[in-house]
Amino acid sequence: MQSKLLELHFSQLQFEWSKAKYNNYSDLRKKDYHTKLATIISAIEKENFQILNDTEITQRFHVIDFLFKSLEFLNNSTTSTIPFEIVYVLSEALKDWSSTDDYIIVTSLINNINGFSFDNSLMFNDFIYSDIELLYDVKFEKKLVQINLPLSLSRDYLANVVLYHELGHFIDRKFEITRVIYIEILNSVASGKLNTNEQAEILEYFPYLSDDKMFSWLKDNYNPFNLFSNHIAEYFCDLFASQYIKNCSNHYLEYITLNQKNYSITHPSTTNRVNFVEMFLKRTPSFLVEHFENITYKITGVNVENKLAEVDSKNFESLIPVEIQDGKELHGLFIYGWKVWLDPWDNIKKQSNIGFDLSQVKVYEILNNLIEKSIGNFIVKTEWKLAKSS
Amino acid sequence: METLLSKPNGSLQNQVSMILNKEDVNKLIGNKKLVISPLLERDQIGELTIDFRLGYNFLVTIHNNNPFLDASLNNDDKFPLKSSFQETRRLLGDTFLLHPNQTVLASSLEYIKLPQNVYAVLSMRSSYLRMGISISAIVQPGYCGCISIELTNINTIPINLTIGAAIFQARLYNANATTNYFAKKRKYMCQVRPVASNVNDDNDLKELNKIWKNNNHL
Repeated sequence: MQSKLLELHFSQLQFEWSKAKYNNYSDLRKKDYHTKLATIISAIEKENFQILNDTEITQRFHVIDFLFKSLEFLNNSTTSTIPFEIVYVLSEALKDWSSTDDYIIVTSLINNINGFSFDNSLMFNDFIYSDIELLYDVKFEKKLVQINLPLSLSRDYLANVVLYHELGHFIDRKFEITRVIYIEILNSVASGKLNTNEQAEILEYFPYLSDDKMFSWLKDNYNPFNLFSNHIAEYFCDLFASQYIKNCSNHYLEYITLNQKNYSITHPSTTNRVNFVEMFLKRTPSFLVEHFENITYKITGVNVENKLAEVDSKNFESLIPVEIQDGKELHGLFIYGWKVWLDPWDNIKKQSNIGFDLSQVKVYEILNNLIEKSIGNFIVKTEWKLAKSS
Repeated sequence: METLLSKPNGSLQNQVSMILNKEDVNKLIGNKKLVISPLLERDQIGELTIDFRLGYNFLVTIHNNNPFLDASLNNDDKFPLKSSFQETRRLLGDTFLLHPNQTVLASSLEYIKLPQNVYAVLSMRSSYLRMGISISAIVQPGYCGCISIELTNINTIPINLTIGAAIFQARLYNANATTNYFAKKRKYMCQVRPVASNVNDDNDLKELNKIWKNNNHL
């Protein structure tokens, strides 16, 4: 690449930085991160691109990309409208698997109805962090993770259960769980030691493995984005989510996929995904589920198990928030919310002596309000208690 | 507080609405007829008043293409009220700057559910009245949700408010009769964030719009 093209890339960044450098953050961790970006940009400004060789130019190009992406995360962190309740609950789930001290979680509301995701593009690129440390003596102790939510569904706590699945992708990527499962399953099949039931189960969930050519190709060509990897990752994330919200993500899954019976290159069939979760929840003996559980435990040291506390309440029907006593009940709230949505709405009318018909949009609004307030009250009480005791 | 109530025979009589004291309020909370959640400190319940805290959700008016806030139906909803408000959120302990002459919709940190025979009269705590913020509102018996408050800074300088601070208070009164808040359709139900005025849903405005159209041969 020519140095002139690198200059173009850096000019674009400088133009962006001319506004972003005045960003003001109340969160000290974001301030620190911002200061580090300033140090790197200032150091690059002093470099003479024309004397750099091709490798050095490419290296700078990636560093500038990193700076752009960091700014994108920080600029789009919509703190004044952030649904911090859902972020709090997800952070609680994340703590089961990894220290949250390593991350700065930012949130972005995006104009895409299916735009639920964890953008971890700044998390796992270790090369860029070592390059930056080597070149500019700047070390990032905390990395940015962005949770994306559809703007129009940011307050939809029934739909937001999908984020538990997305959190699963984050954990999968961090520990490379899919990669190990991929190799283990193919080795098990190749060993010829599986009994008939085990073989049948594998073919039910990965039907294309019956094709010898496909089998050999997958065995020789691991790729995190091939069909088999994608399907393992999806099953893992469904399993991951069901530890917290049981089969609630299935409700939303059936809704967004219209209960897709065929698999695609990116996703298994919805029928299989739903069945996979049901096997885990009902503790139906399953070679695959056990395989997923064992490998996950070996890699992470964390058991795949029920990690929620059920909410036994009639508060929503009485139009009042739930008094959450234990952090695990936060996850149970979504199950309770889905139950009220799926149950006849006359229960609410009767319990609250409502003299008019409740429209669907009114129930939708009430439920989301009550879930949000139940979480919000738990956060407020926890913070208050902590402040009082310190 | 005195209210003029109409007796069944049509005669009017001065009847005293009893203000509820601390013991009454605690009793209602104890038997779950009154809900205040979260109640961070028990001493929010005073001898005759309950302190309420500033919540973390706000609606502020913004300048846009709408020339005014339109509380009529005569412009065919060309200037929807909702588009003149923008939502903003804070965290507990953050601050919110209330500018002079600005009216901001906020809500209480606490979610309440009043008994069917108790209403609440709201006022600012005197410390905040002294800074130049005023509110005046009544919450109807049986209401449930966070309390919506319209904060206006009548001072000439901005006021920096802390989220979670006890800024207003409620006096609870016995309504002398039990009513069902949900007997008829409610515009505001279980709100946890402030909601822009739904005045354009008022049936009266629909009738008045018809009259205006008739009078003007429209």
